[in-house]
Amino acid sequence: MSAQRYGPDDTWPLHQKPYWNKALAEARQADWTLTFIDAPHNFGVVSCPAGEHTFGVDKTAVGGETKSKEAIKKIRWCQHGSGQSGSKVRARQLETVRLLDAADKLIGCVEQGLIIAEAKQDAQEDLDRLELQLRTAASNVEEVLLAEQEAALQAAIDVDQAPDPETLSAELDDATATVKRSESVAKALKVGRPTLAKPLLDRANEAHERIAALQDRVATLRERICPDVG
Amino acid sequence: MTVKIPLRLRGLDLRDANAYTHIAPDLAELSWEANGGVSLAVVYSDDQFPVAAAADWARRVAKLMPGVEVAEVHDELVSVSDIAARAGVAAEAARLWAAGKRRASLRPFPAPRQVVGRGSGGKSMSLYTWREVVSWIRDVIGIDPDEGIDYLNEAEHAYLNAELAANAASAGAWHPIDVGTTNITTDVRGPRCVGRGVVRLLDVEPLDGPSTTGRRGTLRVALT
Repeated sequence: MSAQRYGPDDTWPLHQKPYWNKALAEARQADWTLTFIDAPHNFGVVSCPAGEHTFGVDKTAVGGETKSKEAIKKIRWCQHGSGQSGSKVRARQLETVRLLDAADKLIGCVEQGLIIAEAKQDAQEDLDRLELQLRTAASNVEEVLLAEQEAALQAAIDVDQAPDPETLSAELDDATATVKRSESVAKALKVGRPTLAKPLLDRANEAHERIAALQDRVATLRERICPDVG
Repeated sequence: MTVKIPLRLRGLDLRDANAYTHIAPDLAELSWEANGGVSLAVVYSDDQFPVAAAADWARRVAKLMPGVEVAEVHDELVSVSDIAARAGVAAEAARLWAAGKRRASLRPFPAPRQVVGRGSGGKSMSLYTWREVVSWIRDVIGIDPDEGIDYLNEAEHAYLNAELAANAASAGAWHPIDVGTTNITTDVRGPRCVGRGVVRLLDVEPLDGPSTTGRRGTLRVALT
């Protein structure tokens, strides 16, 4: 086989499909190597620094885009990537960003859940108010109020899948743990590279502030649901 | 969503880049990879019947790559630290999920598939099936660490494994080959070289007796 081997410090040959170039660039950044075969159907083989994880890169086969996306997951999930033989600074930067991205996703989930849970509580309170009005209303307005009650009931049913405050609180705990982990990685980075660490720590602080605001909203919701507790 | 079906291979070690040059061009549609000592041909199927598609690919692998066979559907096992890395959360969060101490009220975390020792000291490590874990994370946590990918369910998994076992069992057995109306000249009495193999005539079962050009019927031959 007349294959050419390219290390992370070499310039790798370009693939004719842009989605494969994205995967190849990520592999190179994570210190993987490319064995460039350049056969009619076979572009090459990409291997992790330990040589334990490899994947083939075809040239024009069907489903190439899916395969390239899966290759990116394989690179990110491999525990032999950068950090083992590559730059620790870069590894810490990537790890912090990855954790902060994950925390953002968790916070986003809580925000969505909280909107639904608050809408459900609003609908429930409307329903309670209308029931009280119905009990005290004169009979000529009863029909109007009954229609309104039905609409409020429907609104409550529509948001029946709302998460409870305990679930939201647990999700926020996960987000907090993830942000704290990102901070500890960023602090390790700060020792040698404070300028690189600063924007990451700022982002972690913002995440903490968002989490604190959401915790307040969850506490308010909990009080609205069970006014006697706490 | 695309269904991912990793087929574990026997007779090929894809940690060696040279091994990729032996892959038949007609199989380029599969994704070939190594995960440590486990070599895989991965089927990504948008087909309505992914199990049938995967079984078909397994047959093609056996046919086009002599010496290589699909052993089974690979069920990827992951540790808690793998789960944390893939889900992008702190290891402690994943540990609490797995221990059932957090987020277990909606749906319990999948039970471990294997428990293995961690050297001396009596410590052990639980391994979980990734396709079960990813389903739990999607449902309970609401994030998707394996975007765009679906996996076979338990029944489909078992069915495909049964198909693959049946393929392997029938590979060495006698089976008729339909050659249509092609005339075959068979003056083969002793062994004869044909292509890269040797054909030995075992039996001729006539359909309609002798003809002017010979006999028509079913031939039983051994190809070695």
